[in-house]
Amino acid sequence: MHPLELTGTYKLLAALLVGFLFGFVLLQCGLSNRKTFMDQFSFKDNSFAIIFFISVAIGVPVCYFLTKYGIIKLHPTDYKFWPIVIGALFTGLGLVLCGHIPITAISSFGSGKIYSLWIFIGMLAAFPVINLARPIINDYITNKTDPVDLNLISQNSLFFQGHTAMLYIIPIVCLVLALFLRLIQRSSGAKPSKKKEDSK
Amino acid sequence: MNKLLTTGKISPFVAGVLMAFLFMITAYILDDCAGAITAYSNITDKVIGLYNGNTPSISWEEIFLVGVLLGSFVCALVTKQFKLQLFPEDHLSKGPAYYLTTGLIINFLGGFLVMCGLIIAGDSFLKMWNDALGLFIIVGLFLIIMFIESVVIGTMLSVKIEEK
Repeated sequence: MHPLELTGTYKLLAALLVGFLFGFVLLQCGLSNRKTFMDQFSFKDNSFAIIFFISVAIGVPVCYFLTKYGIIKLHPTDYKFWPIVIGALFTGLGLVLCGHIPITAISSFGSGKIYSLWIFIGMLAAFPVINLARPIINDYITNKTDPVDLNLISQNSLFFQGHTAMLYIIPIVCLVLALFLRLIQRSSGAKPSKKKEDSK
Repeated sequence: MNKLLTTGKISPFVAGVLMAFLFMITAYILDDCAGAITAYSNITDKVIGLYNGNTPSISWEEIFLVGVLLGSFVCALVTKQFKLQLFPEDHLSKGPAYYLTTGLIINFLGGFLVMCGLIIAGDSFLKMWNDALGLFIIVGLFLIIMFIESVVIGTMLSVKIEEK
């Protein structure tokens, strides 16, 4: 088996349908709400982390077997160490300020939050600025020697060459983390109601 | 099921499973990861092209983003979550002097920094999420650094607000 290789109008329609489903799920699970991200960073609402960990717990083994039997193909980006580190620092800071990643900004705008369009315009404005700063970024970040080739490690040891222990260990760890986060969210959520009862 | 789709919210556990399967379905149908950074880059290029008088063509990557917009819009209407909001609620509570000036700058700057980070890192958050399912350790490194930084800065800001 191999992936459907749709072209032309069929591919456009499929992309529209898949996007529609993504938009529906993002809104229904609350990820398009900026408060979900904001509350995640103070551990008031762990929904984002739980969604992420559960998707990894389920997705890793499914992805492995689908890849193994040729049903899907992985197209990983060529990430490098220093760009990832610096990029994460920028993204983390921006996320605290606006509470959106690109896809959730679009989803949020779709649900009537006009301010998300402003955030999205800010995101689009980054492209010309980064293009202008590209020579500096290449000199100081992208072309810097990586201390470890993490892409190579992951490709060789975790997925592709039969060392499948991580296929079970990582999903189980993610599942435990998700359950733990749910537990601490519930226990922290129980306190205010208890206080209310006491005051009555 | 109908009640869940029309009124209730999906639990994070169900949402996690749905997201994983959506990534797989996307990889199978489109033979690629949707929502990659090229989609946003293309939008910027085409907006600039449109300004210069060029007629842009639309690729499946941009159509995917249109689908996300439509999906959210329909979902918001069906579940009665649709509400026109010009400013975030937490900004509104600080008064017009804040949400008409500082709030706007913060939102714009936040979006700008998020995308700068993603461009430098190499791809969009959705693509990294998809790559995480292929066990690419380096994506985990990105998420850990981003999360720790956000928790530290978020806590510092909330402490500062509480002090005020």
